[in-house]
Amino acid sequence: MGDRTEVQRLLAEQQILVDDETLRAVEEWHRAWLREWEWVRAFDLRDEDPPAPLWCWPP
Amino acid sequence: MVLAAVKDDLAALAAGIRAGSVSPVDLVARCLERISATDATLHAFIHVDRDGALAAARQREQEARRGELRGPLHGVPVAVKDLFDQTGLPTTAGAAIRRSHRATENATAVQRLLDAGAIVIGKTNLHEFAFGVTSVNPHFGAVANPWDPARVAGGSSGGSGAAIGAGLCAVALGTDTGGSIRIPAALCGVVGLKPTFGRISRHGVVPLAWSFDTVGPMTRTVADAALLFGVLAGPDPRDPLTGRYPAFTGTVQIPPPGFRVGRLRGPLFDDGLDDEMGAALERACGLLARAGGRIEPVAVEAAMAGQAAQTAILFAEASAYHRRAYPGRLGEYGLDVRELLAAGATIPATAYVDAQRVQGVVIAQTRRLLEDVDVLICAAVPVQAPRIADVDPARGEGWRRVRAPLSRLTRFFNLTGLPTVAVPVGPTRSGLPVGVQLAAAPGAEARLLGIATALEAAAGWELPPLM
Repeated sequence: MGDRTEVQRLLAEQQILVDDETLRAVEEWHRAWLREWEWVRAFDLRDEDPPAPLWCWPP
Repeated sequence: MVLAAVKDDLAALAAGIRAGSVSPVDLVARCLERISATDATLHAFIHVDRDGALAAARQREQEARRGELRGPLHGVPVAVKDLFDQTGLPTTAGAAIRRSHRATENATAVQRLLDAGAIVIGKTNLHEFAFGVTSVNPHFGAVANPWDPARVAGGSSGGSGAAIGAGLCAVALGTDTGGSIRIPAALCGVVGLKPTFGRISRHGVVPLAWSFDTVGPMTRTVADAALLFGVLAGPDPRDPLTGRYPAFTGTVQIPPPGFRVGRLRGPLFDDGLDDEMGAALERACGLLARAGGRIEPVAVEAAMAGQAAQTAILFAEASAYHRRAYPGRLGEYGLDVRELLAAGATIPATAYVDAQRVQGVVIAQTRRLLEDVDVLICAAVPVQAPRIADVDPARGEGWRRVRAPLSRLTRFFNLTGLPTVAVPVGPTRSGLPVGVQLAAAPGAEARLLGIATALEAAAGWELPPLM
């Protein structure tokens, strides 16, 4: 998910054409996000944990 | 840059206007003079409505003389982040591609200010499309910090923070999706309240990320924030989320001795805190303890996972919102925002869903904590305001290094939707403001602002007066 081809593919699918410098920066951002995302991967989400945005919650 | 003078809060100003000792015309004229004198440096405003504000001031003054008061803000000059619609004025959102926009109706929050008698003197500058934390805006100028104009005011509501900090208006509106009220409040030495998600209508406000966007007041004092929150909060049929909470009476709950303060600990809240910010947090905890609070360490197990989840949701939603203009008009966006919108487009749908699942876990864990404590406390920002020259995207890559740290401590409260207030607690050794955050259970703004009042009184931080 974090290599250059994957980021390029994701952007191309959405017709987002950026210059080389921006592409490198987006790739770096994506790698940083994947590192941050390891906290989610390491977290023990259970089958019964549904998506729960704020409007799902009682006041 | 900070203008010396008198001590006024909103209640005092409004009382003076009611009694005839304060003239709305003089007050607005003085604000306009200050804006003229400072804005070449501060860049706090995108649009100043001189004629409209003076005409409204004359009308409010005549009404006051006749005893016809519209509400608690009668004759009070306010500023509005240029993300809110106001009839007949552009809502640029700090973006070049919206320069020609003209609002055809008022945002609900703006209408409530006007109904309460306020005078909107202008629209404040911000980070482009509210998607950033510095308010270094390539189209409308970099908002400077009133305490050191070489430094940023924070963002994205930087213009509102700078305007309050410099005494250019009495109160201002901001929005907060990842810290955009609280970061500039902390860096400019003002009070910034991000209310419970959904308590103030977002109708007529340009979105950044729907899951987190929150409207709130930026003010000189906690009492002012409570008063303004009372004007703004309450159900609005044009924003269904607001139907879940009642209006706010404006009355805060002064905490009884023994109130419980949970000091957030763990990597998210402890790591990367510079010495000055750490010392300010220690001082704030000490002040609350002397005011009768019981301080105890608390932790949210899933806080770091929540941080990653908040990033995924915010960036994906921001990219989705901009699909109509981006990438078609990519070249008209600032360098940083065009890059961040592309970054958001790389978030997979599965990650967005998992992020919302993590969000639920973090909300549940945090709500459990709040069954045992009245408020949570942590620093507002982990570092001092960076220099504009170091974070201007036109001058290099420094902006990428400050983006995550500046919002590190604020985004948790957007993910959890808790009412959170940034309160100034004193200057750093170099004289810059420093603030801490207090947060409470959903809908518990009265308790939150009561404890914030106690902290404010103990800290003794004061802005230079308005009049």
